[in-house]
Amino acid sequence: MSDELHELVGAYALGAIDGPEAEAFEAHLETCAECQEELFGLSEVVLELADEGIPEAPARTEAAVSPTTPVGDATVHELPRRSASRWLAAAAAVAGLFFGLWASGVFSEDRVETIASAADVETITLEGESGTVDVVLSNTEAGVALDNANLAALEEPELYVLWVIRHDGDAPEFVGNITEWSDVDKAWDLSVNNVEILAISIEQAPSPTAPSDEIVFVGERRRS
Amino acid sequence: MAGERRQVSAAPDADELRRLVARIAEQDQNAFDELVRRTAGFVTARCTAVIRNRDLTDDAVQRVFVKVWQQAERFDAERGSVIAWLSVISRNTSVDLVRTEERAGQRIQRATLQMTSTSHVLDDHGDALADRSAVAAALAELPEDQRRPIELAFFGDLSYTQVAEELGQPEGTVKSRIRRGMARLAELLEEAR
Repeated sequence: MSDELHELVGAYALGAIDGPEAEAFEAHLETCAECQEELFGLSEVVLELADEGIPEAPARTEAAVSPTTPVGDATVHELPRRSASRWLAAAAAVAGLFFGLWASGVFSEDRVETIASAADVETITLEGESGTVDVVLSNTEAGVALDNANLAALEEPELYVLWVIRHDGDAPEFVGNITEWSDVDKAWDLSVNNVEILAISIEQAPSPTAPSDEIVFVGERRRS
Repeated sequence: MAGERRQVSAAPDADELRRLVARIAEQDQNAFDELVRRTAGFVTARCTAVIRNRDLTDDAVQRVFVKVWQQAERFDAERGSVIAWLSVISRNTSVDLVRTEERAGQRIQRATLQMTSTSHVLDDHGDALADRSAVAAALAELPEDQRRPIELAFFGDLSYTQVAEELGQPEGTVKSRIRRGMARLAELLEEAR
């Protein structure tokens, strides 16, 4: 099986593998230094191919997202017309600028504001024994945020953790740590389209893989 | 054009990347800047492979690095592979972004091209590629049985299984040829540098 997964590295580099197989390759990639090296080395090839662009072509992006979508129901991709070096420069510049704003705190607050003022913003009220906490989320902004939220103070090392459940019966998915208690403005990038339940737990350490038994707030998303 | 290209083929040392991520988990901005410098090309390539659209790719790259900053403390700095971690984040972020765009009705352009048009598109494209760039020249040097699957996969935006079906070849043969062809392209681009 390992040899078969090795062979997938070229197709994976091109984005020519659909979801489950891509996940299998990524699990292999985690422990295969040879494939890591090879994949990294193919970056420039992919960027140079993208630089060539295509005038028109049936897209598989939609198929990748929804494997059952016929290829005939296609998208014309607007491929970039710039050199690989410009891709790299743009990526680095964009990330640097973005990070600079974010690290300064400007972006974080802006991001909360962006989500809270999105046209499709939804406010989910999480209820608990000690009161309620409002969480805002937006499909189009692909984000979730606490907007000026107030929580009961905790003592170190305790902290709050926000979770989402996408479908009833699914395991809770970690969203982020909450280490402030009053007037909390905090945003996380997250695809929230299929989120159904949100919850906040109290944890003894940050970034747990599963919530403790101490779920203090829970709210269900109203589906239109 | 060859002179404009930057080399991104040498993979950074795995331990060094792990140390950078460990420092990022401690909110070290210098470490973050260094990780961006070393992996921006890789992340851009991974997002490009899914999205194929410049504006959306730029957005995806931003989101990937924000997640790196936010999730660095969850990364296993003892054993984890940063390259694999970035790959997963890049693909998931890109797929999520495409979904969001689709559901928001903001997809870039739509068309209903049929599978049968693929060959026509590729033939036209192949002609247009002539002498245009190093990668076009490199593609032209590949054996037909390697070049064709790569063109169908990338320019035709087909999965390798769809390529196999299109060419009437076994899937295993196609994925091996794509791998060999991509490795050869990397060599040819390096030689042209």
